[in-house]
Amino acid sequence: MSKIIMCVDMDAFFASVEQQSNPRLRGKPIAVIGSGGRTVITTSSYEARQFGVKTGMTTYEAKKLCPHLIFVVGNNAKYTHTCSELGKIYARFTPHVEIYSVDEAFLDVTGTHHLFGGIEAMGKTLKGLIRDRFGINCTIGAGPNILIAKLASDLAKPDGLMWVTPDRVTSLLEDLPVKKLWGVGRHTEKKLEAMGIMTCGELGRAPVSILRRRFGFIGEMLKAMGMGICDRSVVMHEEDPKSIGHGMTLPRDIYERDQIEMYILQLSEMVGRRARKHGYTGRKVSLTIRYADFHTFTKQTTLSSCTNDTHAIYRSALSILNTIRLRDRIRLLGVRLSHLEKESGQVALFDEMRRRRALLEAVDEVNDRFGEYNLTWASYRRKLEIPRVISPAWRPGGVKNIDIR
Amino acid sequence: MMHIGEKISVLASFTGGIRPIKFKWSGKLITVQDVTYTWRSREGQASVHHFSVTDGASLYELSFHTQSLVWKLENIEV
Repeated sequence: MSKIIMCVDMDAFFASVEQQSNPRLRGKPIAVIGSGGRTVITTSSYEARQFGVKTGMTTYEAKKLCPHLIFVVGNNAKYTHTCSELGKIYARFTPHVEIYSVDEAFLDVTGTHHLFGGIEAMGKTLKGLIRDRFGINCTIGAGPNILIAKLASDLAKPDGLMWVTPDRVTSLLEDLPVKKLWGVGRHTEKKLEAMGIMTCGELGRAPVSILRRRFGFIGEMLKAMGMGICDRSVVMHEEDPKSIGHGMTLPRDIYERDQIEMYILQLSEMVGRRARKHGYTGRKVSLTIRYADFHTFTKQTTLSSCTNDTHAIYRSALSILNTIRLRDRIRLLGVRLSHLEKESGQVALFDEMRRRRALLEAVDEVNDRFGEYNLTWASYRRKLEIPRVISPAWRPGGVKNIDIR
Repeated sequence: MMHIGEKISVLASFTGGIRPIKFKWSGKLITVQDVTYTWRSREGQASVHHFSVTDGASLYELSFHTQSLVWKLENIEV
């Protein structure tokens, strides 16, 4: 039996939630922005998109295209709560649910769609439930695999429902531009264009040897995608993370050493806290720096033993910083812990290590009870800046669930 | 929206979920005409319920802290 996968994609998610919250915004061009000084547009309403307003634009660029555009500072708790509640609605239709991102989910409904009257009836019921509960719209694409389900949802936007049966896959892909395929970016599109491959049909017929020569092992995957084949199944449980990291665009470009150290400590605490919360330790620490001119680089160091101690991460990041001769002001900093292992529960051998661990456990316990960053390091010297930008990787549970306000 | 962050008295229904009905702010009794959106956040072990509500003229954001049982008027848009 052929699989049936649904892709549920919320339409202009953040903007729709804000329009639903504030009736005065309904039907108007709005753009959701971050709360920081150097913010860009995270989502715009369909009314704003008609003027060419897009995600990633600066407020200045957007206002030039649409002078009456209304900016709304995003409320991340609203979006993450809605995402978690949407997960509960999906679970009424199938136990096989993958929350892919804050506004997108895949449902394997192969074994359950008949209980709801078939794919189209099920899709309509699901859309209706979401509209009744939150007042917002979504688009549902269904197909024999994740690739086609995602493509169908993209093609049916906004507020659409499209089911691509296996016998329609080839005809749908034949004249479709390659850039419409999930995962084919501008870079790959250009390379394919240079080879004379413009459509998915052409990609599916291209000799695999040529694609392999140009793209390596990805070449085979690209050919399969051109033919509408995708083996990736719905992943219900988060896989073990490969790394835990945080990055931060700073409120202003900085050069002062004490300021840089303070942000690195802050990021190290965020990394250490998340690693401890989920029981991971790591052996490699990396530091990412982006200069004001957007030149970005990462350096890493390997520790003698695994850790999730804030100060061990901080000291390692500082040791990396000491090897760098800064040539410009810093715009962004990032700290990452990788080569992760699950904590073994090994009792610390030395008194100092035991005291250190007890201190961290006490701090974590206080913050678990009273909220993140209520008890923290005095050396921050100023109010902590909690992350206010949702990563596309945010999930309602697991390591990717980050406290975002 | 303008941030207020003041404690307020609220008349609310707790039947089938929490729903604010009326609240007092600045000496005025405001009747909730419509709850336009609800969401929850966490503060440590406590959960905080948030409500976007309108009296037909202005938009208010209320919050209810489940541990301290405190209602607040968080933001307002007149």
